[in-house]
Amino acid sequence: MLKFWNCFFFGVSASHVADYGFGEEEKNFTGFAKFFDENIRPKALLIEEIRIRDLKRFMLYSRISFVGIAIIWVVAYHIFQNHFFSVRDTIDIVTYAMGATGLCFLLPYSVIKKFSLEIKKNLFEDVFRFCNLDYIPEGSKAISHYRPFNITPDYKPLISKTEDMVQGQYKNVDFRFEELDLQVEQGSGNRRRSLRTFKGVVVLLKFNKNFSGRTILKSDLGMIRNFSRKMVESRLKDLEKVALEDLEFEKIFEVYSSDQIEARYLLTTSFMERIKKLSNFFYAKKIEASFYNDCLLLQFSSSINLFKVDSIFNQIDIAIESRKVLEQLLLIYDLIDELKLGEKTGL
Amino acid sequence: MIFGNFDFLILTAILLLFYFWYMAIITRRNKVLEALSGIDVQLKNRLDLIPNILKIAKKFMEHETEIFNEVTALREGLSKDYNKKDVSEVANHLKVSQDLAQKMQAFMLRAENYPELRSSENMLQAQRSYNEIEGQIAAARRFYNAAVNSLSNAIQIFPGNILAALMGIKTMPFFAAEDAAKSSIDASQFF
Repeated sequence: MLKFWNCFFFGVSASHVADYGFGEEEKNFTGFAKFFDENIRPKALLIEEIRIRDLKRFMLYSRISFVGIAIIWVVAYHIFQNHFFSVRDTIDIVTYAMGATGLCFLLPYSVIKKFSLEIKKNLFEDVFRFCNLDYIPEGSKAISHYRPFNITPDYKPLISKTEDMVQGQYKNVDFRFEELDLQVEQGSGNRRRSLRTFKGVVVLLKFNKNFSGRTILKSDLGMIRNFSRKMVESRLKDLEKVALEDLEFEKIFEVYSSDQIEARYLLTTSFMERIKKLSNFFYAKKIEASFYNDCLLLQFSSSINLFKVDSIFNQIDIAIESRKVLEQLLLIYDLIDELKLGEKTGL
Repeated sequence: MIFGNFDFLILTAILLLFYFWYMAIITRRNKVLEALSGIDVQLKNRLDLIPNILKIAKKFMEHETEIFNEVTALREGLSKDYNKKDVSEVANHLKVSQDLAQKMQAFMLRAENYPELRSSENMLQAQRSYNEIEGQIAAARRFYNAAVNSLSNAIQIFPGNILAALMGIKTMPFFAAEDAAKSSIDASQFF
């Protein structure tokens, strides 16, 4: 906030562009340091230019917005001083003034959004290009694809959205992950409002083998609530509870499956460890997973924003941002290795 | 009147307790039998695969007849039918399967001495299949042991011990992880 007021009153000055390097080779990403030096490092200047340009624009729009907001409230105050209004009219005027204030904030916000998109295109696309992965900033826009897994909450397509999708292959295993923001509408007429049912990250992995049963991991809600959920949720009705040996995992999850052996085959201790790691990485408050047909869907409820650079006020450390992306990928690659998803066993 | 209302209630409660306990024992015993069938399915897959591995290896390991014969004998022993409700027969069946797994591990270690075999694509594929089946057996074993543990609790705690004695139900043997399964064979180390 201090930086904002500093820029607001004293303006934006271009800073010296730091030369961030990517020194080490990461597991599974051999050659990235060289690729970074050749393709990403030269963009540091361009990225910094974009940041300074957008920061200047952001501050300009912020100043305009503040003037606009001041005018709105001065006018509103003036109207109150000179006229007598009923309570109903007063509420209406205050509501309009607040609405107009909100609209004023949209202007600088749009600059931040555009800046974020441009950085994603300039920086992250290159990192994914190195890994032979596709990056689609607006997401798959195909939420219905996740419905058959029976863990996706209800949503209304018109007000729900996808963002930041990465898809590709690792060791012949197709995978994708993206952000989901699902909402439903409640009430009718003037009382209609939207309610968020899910926000977070979904990871979809496609196996080279089919599952004979269906296995679902849900968060542990405690004995009574687990029991009532099992009774109420139709999608769990045909499934049986699986008691696992890992006590720590049992505290976090409730597992239901139509095939007890397959569930135990899939949910090994090291698999559970990797799920926990991934969940920490995504700052997940809740994790759910479902094995169905030849796919595994992992759903992490989290307020994390993937591939978001720190702040428009700070110079972007392209090496750190690149490393964050590689770390995310590495966790998913580890999961694929753990599950031997790509292995064709001939069975 | 022999029984008052209160006595009748207590009697009903005791009968209901025994009935539900009886139901729990039967359900858990059936779960153990189901889990045992699950183990047998996976053991059958292992038995079906072993001749293929032996066939591939035989070309290269002509002088290792002893281990070939031992594996074949154990495989034949495991193919025999057994009574799933007889505790000693189940214990014997599980013991033979452990012996076979250990023998197969010894066989794989010996195969390490044959570089041509190590580089054979067929052997690599068979090895992957074998590891997959070992993983499935381990999962089936976890399910079986959980079911046995649950049955043991039901028939060892009063009044389950009385009911189990009347019904002739005994606790089943655990399927301990053999050394071979504890450390699954890694094909990359091997070849």
